[in-house]
Amino acid sequence: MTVDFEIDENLAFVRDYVRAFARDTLRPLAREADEKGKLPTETIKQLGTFAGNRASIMPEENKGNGEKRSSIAAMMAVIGSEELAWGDPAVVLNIPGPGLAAPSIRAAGTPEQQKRFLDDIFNVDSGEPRFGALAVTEPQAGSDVSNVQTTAVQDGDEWVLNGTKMYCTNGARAEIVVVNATVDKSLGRQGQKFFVIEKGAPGFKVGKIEKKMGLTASETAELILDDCRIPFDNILGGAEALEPKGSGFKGTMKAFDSSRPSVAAMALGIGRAAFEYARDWVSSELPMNTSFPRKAAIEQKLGRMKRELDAARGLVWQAAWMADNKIPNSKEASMAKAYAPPAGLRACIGAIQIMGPEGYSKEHLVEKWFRDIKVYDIFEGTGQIQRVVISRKILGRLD
Amino acid sequence: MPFDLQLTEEQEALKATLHEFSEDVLRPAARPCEEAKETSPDIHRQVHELGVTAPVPEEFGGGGTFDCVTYCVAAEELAFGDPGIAYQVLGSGIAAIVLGLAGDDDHKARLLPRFAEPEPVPSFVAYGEKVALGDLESLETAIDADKVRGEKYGVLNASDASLGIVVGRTPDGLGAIVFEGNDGYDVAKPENKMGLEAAPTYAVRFDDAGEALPAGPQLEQAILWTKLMTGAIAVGCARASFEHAAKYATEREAFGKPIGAFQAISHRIADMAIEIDAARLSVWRAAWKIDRGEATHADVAQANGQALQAASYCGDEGVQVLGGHGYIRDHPVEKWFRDAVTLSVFDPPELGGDTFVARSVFA
Repeated sequence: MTVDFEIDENLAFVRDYVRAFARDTLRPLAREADEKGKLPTETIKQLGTFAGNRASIMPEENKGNGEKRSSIAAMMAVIGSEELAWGDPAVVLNIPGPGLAAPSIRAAGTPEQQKRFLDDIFNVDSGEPRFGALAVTEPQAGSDVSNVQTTAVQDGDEWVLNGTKMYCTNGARAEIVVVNATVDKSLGRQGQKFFVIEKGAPGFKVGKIEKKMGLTASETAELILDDCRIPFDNILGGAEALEPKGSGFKGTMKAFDSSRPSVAAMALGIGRAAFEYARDWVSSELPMNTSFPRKAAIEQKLGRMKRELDAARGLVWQAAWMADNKIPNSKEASMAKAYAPPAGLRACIGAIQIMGPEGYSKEHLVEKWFRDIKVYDIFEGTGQIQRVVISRKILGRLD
Repeated sequence: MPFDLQLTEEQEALKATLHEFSEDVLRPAARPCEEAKETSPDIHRQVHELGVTAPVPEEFGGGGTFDCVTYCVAAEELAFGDPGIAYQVLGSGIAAIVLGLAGDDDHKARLLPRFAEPEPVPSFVAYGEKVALGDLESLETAIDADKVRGEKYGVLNASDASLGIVVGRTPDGLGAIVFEGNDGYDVAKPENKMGLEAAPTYAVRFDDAGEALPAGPQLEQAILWTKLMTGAIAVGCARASFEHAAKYATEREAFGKPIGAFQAISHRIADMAIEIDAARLSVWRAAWKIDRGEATHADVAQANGQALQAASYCGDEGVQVLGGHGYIRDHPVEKWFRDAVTLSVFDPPELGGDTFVARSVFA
């Protein structure tokens, strides 16, 4: 119960373990994966074997339903996330597991649903890589999730879903995709419920796979629900979810409060990768005849990069520490998510500039990290949305 | 011990006490002291009596000492009341911390009891130099045995100090010379500053012999502590601007609603909050390292850089959120902005701090 910035030995062990995996396994795959836009199936299988083909190679953050949450789960998640993203942020997203389907199912699913959609699919040794996905965004609804147009209509013992989802990570190859859809438009966001679509459901189609600025090795899919039929039981929370006080949209989305520090930690990891790369380049490759003013500017830039990345880590750890200590952290989680991606982006741009023509060259990874990191200020709540959350916590609702 | 950001009960209690003191005593005193260009003796005495600005161990008649994290919590709270008064009072007392940490038995027995008296001791620790980068290695002031020679700026109390400590470089590294009374140095000129006016400072020329403090890691950590004082004050200064602007944003209306309803305002408020937390965490981290005897100059430079950036940013945005009202002296935000920019001269990240942070990563 006193201010202490040292992580305990459990966390240090996880950090060192994940760091070695990131360095030895993820980083060597980075360039080829970026160029090809995907990883070889065999590699994905190996990653799956390493990770035990389950949620992630880190302990699950929230077991939900009475299972006791570890008091360092959030710290472990952010420390692991930073290291993994340092290895390669796109390759990480190819590690098989339920991905973002897990927190929503853990938060809103019945015990039977948790078993059926998570344990039975992901916590078994199938020998095959298996993915889960979450699809919320639609062409006309990004930050404004209340504008989601996908509908779900009950038809006997089935739901019929219609709509288009986009930007869904691993959506095309997922065993299960969690989607939100409106059952009652008049209720606004509270009329939205979450549903689990299983691979092969009738009327479930994969649209285009996006070509992105970065994170190219991560599959980003458009999903089309064209009279897509799923069992009635696939509504998260079961029939009770339809009651007025049933598991609503807001409650389920709360599960993602815990993911904001981890996303921020990933951006921090990417930024740190760029900083360290530039630092090492400067110590071994900086031309001898570099002018004094340029050398001085390089030093200043490197120092600022380190200062800001360490400050970002402070914010990330603060948010995680609060979560672990059951202190409400919505504001602080958003602060970490608002600060770390731009700080990491500045580090990437700084690294490119310091290295000059080698910085923008594809011979080095810094140009890739720059392309990769930009989206961290956009997905999982844009920087602007984080500032809306933060300012509402400070000022209250004024509009 | 695991990562932890929980203050102890004692620290929480101290913070609450100082917060109340800041609101009740320092806020009303801020403008008068600024206009008088000094912290009034009465105010100085009242802060001194709180026992946080010049801690003296009990064996030397004081109320006891505390760690650097506690000091930074206290300094932030006092600076939240007024950065100028905080700078004067904290800066006048910090020689006690240096003596307590780095003095030999004789120094402690002879000099520390003075700080335990109800009357504050006019004293200083002189560090800043115009031409240096700000790190220990680039100090120009030279110390040879008990002799010191060099020029410092931003020196508090120089016109009537009864005790002063000068930091400089010895052939082996960091050194510090203690002067008693105000012989041994010349006040080159009083500095007529645009901010922190409640803390009158002087440019001082040193060229004489005093008493050397024992060199070594203790001295280094003590000097880093004195430097970190700037960062801790900067966090309080930033928070003052932020809280004032946030409150104003909920009250002032434009186009039919509180201006905080407009994102051009509310997002600035959010950014101010982010900068402040990032700064405070950096300062606490450096303080925690000082308490473990492990701090480097880069740790403190990083913390000060983050904190001074926060103070300047919040100072600027604080005025901007209030618009014309921010620019006139009816509101305090213009003062905090001037204070912040003045503070930033003591350890500017762009003109040194970031550079030796970078140098430290190649070590």
